[in-house]
Amino acid sequence: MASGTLYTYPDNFRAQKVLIAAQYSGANVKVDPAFVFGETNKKEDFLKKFPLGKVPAFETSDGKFLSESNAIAFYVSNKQLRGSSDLEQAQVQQWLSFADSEILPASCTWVYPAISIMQFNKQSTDRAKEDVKRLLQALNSHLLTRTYLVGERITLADIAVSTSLLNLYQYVLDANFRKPYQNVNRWFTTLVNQPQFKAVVKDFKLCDTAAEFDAKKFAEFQGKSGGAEPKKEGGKKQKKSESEKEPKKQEPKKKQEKEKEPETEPDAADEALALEPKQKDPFADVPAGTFNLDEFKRCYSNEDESVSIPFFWEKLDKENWSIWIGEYKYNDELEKVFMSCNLITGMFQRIEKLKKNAFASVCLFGTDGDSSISGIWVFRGQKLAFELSPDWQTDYESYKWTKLDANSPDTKKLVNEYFSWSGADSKGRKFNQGKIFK
Amino acid sequence: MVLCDANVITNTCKFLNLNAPGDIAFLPSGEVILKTKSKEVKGFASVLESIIISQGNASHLVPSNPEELAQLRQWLEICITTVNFADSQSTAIKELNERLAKVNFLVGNRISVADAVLYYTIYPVLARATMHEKEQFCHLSRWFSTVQHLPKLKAGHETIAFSRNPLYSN
Ligand SMILES: N[C@@H](CCC(=O)N[C@@H](CS)C(=O)NCC(=O)O)C(=O)O
Repeated sequence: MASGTLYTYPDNFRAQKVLIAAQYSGANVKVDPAFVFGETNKKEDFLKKFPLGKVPAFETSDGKFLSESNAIAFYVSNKQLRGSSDLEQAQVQQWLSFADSEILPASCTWVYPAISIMQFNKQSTDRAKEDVKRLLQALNSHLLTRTYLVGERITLADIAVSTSLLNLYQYVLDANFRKPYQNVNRWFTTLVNQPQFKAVVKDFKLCDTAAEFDAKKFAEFQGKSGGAEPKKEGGKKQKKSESEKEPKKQEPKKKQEKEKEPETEPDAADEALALEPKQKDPFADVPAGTFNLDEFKRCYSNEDESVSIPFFWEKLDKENWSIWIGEYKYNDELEKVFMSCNLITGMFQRIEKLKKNAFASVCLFGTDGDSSISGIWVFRGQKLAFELSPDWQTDYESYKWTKLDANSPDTKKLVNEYFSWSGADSKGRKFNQGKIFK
Repeated sequence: MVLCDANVITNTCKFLNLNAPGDIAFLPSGEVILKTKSKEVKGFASVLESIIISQGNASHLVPSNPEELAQLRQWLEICITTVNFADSQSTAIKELNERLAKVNFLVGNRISVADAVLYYTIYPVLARATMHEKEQFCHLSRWFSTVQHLPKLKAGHETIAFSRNPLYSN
């Protein structure tokens, strides 16, 4: 069975194609953790193995070298993925080419300006959108009578075409746009929910609101990728980067040129994207379990607590979620009630991004001059969630955190009191005000 | 003709590699009944449910989380209430076809025992349907042609052919 090392930057959809194939075949593919895009692949020893210096690139355990993601994906695949007859194998090749030469150019031309890493040009974007529609329509007809692209099982064709659609589905195909392509949506959803895909792409979310070009972000981005430039070595590369920066200085003239040859652009932006390490989701390594937080939040907002609290206990996945009590350490310093409330809402604002994976009811007990703050928190994972990201650590040290046993009746009572804004604190001070983090 | 019969139940047991946890009998009314040492369960959906649940989490073909179990129950109900008296021209088939428009598998995103139950239930209808009919309920046909490929389901059942070029796609 194939085994070896894959060189790539993180979240590269071409590398994901390889890694998903390896998940199916059981091939032993390790991603080189030391790889730095723009550095490693410019070094002499790398170029000796892979003369074009492009990634993904693959080094087999017995010292053979492969570049081009389709070739690598084929190499790490098993029989099922490659297709089980001559015809099926040819069909798999057909879809690999379709992904590379039809979908990717259209996808990059639309998505990269939309996420502001490439200059926006209305004409090119409009044309790309039309291309995407045409391609999705073709796929949609094909998938009307089929579960998978080739044969009755998942093949490399499904892996390659779906990974080439990842950026589109993530950034720009909002519910309205994708509505006519129900068969493609069905097929894509099935795929990204397979354990072998999830192991590589994690929890994929379909686009809510289509991303649109933001000139300010683009300028910032150019500034950043320009800053990274001195790291690059080699004359040819240097020149290419220089010309990439040009549009900033000579906007009007460059624009016209662009309209002539938008096809050459995505490649450059591809690299730019690679230089910008995507921010890692702090919860990436924490299993999501079965508890649907949004569903509970909706229930909590719309229903009486007599409904939402039992709902909470019924749905809570105790293995993958934990319940905590956080008690403010400096209650003696609390004066006016409104100030205490600001303390709570301020904290909520600073940890806005944690909302996706946490829920809390934080209460103020007592009155002006004699009060306390404490709250019940529910986090994905068994650890205190604030520790997952430095961005969330401004306030949490002002609280004493205690993990509660989700099975104990005492916890049940506490949770019920905090969620329904009733009861008193440990010193008997009555509930005064509450704030919900949701 | 009734589709939800003893064959579906015995085939489902075979599919899960298990013996029925008791005796299966039919009342004069046609209703199926499962008698175990401790209890009696009546009705197609309930009998199947207790057989499937008795399997516990031992098989990856049995849904394990509460949401998927609820979907499984719903499909057992659909089998007995909608599919049971279906033939290739009934509205039941149209309804079933609509239900399958947006999904590839009945529960979650993979083949499970729910697909097996529907497969065994609907097999006689599709075996008799004309190519023209099968093209009209294309979602049902698509689903069937994929699940019939599972080796366990193939065993003892002739593969049913479906045309790949829909003539009618409303
Ligand atoms: N057709 C190639 C494309 C690979 C490619 O363009 N890689 C880009 C990054 S996404 C790269 O490594 N560029 C570096 C360079 O050109 O120096 C494949 O599918 O593997």
